[in-house]
Amino acid sequence: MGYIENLIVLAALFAALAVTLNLLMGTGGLFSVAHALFFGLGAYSSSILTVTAGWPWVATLPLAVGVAALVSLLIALVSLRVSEDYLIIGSFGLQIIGTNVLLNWRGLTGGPVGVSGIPLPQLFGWHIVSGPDFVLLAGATLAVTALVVGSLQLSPFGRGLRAIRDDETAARACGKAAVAFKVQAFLIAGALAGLAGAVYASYIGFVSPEQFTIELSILFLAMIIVGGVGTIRGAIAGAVLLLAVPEILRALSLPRDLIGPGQQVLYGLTLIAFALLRPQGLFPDRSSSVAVGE
Amino acid sequence: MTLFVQLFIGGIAAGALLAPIAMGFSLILGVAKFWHLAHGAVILLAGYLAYVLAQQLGWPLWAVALAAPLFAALVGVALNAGLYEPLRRRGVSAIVMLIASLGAFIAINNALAIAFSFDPRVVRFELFARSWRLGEYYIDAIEITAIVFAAVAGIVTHQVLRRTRAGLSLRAVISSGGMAQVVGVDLAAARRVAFALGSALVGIPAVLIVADNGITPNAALEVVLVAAVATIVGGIGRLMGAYAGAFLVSVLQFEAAGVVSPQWGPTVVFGVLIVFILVRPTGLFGGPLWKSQV
Repeated sequence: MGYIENLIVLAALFAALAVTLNLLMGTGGLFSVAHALFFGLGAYSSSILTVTAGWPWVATLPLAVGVAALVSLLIALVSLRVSEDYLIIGSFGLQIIGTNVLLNWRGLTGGPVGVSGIPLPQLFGWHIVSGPDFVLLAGATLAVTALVVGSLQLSPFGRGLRAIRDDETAARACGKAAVAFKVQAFLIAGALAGLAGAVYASYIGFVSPEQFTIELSILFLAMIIVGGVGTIRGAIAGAVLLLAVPEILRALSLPRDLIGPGQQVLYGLTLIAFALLRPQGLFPDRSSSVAVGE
Repeated sequence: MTLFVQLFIGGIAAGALLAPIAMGFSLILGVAKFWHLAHGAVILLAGYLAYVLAQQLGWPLWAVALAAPLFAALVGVALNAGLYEPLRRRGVSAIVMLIASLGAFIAINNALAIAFSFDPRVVRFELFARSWRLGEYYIDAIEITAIVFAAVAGIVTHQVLRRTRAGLSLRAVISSGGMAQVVGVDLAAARRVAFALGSALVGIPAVLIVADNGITPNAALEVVLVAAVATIVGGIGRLMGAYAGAFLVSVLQFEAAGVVSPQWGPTVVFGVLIVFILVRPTGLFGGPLWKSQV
């Protein structure tokens, strides 16, 4: 497993997650900091089924997707009657609850140790074993995600979602069922995040609660902000850029135990810099004048 | 029964530590109209200052107790002047303000981790080395100090808001920024006051944290989020609501720790948040349904 291959796999998966978060935040204006949770739920669901129940990896995918989508429904509920402020804080809360549950429900999740010994995946006869195999699988995941999100953004659904984002009252006056749109956006975003999670779990080989914390959710948020809220290109660019940060730090040969917090300091400063200088991100959404930066 | 009462005492003491923090957070939210997550960073900075002054420079407790709130106020005002006001001048949205605040929090939090490591930094003040028995129950000097300070802070803040002109202006802005401006309130000045007072309130709690279990960057985000929970539970815009909410949430957390287990603490606290958002977003004391505007 080469170093560059590892980076590409992670970049592709995180980019896929950024793209799904983009559907929520960019197209839907639904600010959720709970994305790492959906990712984790997909990863855990798939892992538990393959390790303890011996399911083949492919069979776990619908369940990984389903569990993540179901929980995202819960977050959707939080967003419905109230303004985005409550969604933000509520999603913080749900993310923390999620990590807490993963940590403490030992019977199901294995507690702090998590689930290990996840077998290598097989996709209809194709054994995914080597670095290049995983690059292909991760790339396929990204492609599928981008395709789904992209076509949704261009579809009537996407237009309706943007209308609701820009002015919910006006959209409702035109007959758009805001609740249905928002719920669907959450379901799709959650489902795709769960899919990426299942792929991730089979790649890393083990899952534990520390992999899916609020820090990761904030990282996804940063990727969208940096890349540009609302565009798929932006989400991918943001993911690649922010994954490069730890590598830069490593190149500067910082002492080992400073890399973690040092990385975080850079993320924090990056968020501030973008807020001040280019809040619309590197590849802004030009489809509407009301984007994050306005 | 003994356990419940002891936990209740602990919960009240923890609530007393949180109440001034929550009040400050609520004040800043009400006046500046966005979620100042960097409030957690102010707590950390005040705490680490207390640590440095007491442990490394040998300052007595009374001097530290004066320095901490002053320093906290300065940091709050500096953050506002250096980060938030420039963002306002650029006309960014409330979401971008939150993201910048989050970035500042992450950067400061981790910079402190680099400087002081993640190990809790404690200062053992002689004054706090005592504890008392009340029948079957125990209470220690730090808990009593927290409760006394919370009482004083609550009364003082309440009186300032009710009886001073500055307090009246703050209440006007909390109620409606636009209307306050129309009747001649200088919004920028009101924000400065809110940041100064709201940040000063965390000074003593920060010192108490240092004296108790020590200050560490780890819990800072959760402290701010719990302050946000208290704010929502009390009703946004109701400072005394946030105050009461802090006690309610803390007692609930402690009692739940007795019933289930302390590990589930975060789930309990944020579970309360979710329930309130779903069922009574206006809070216990009936604030407005909040929407941030910058």
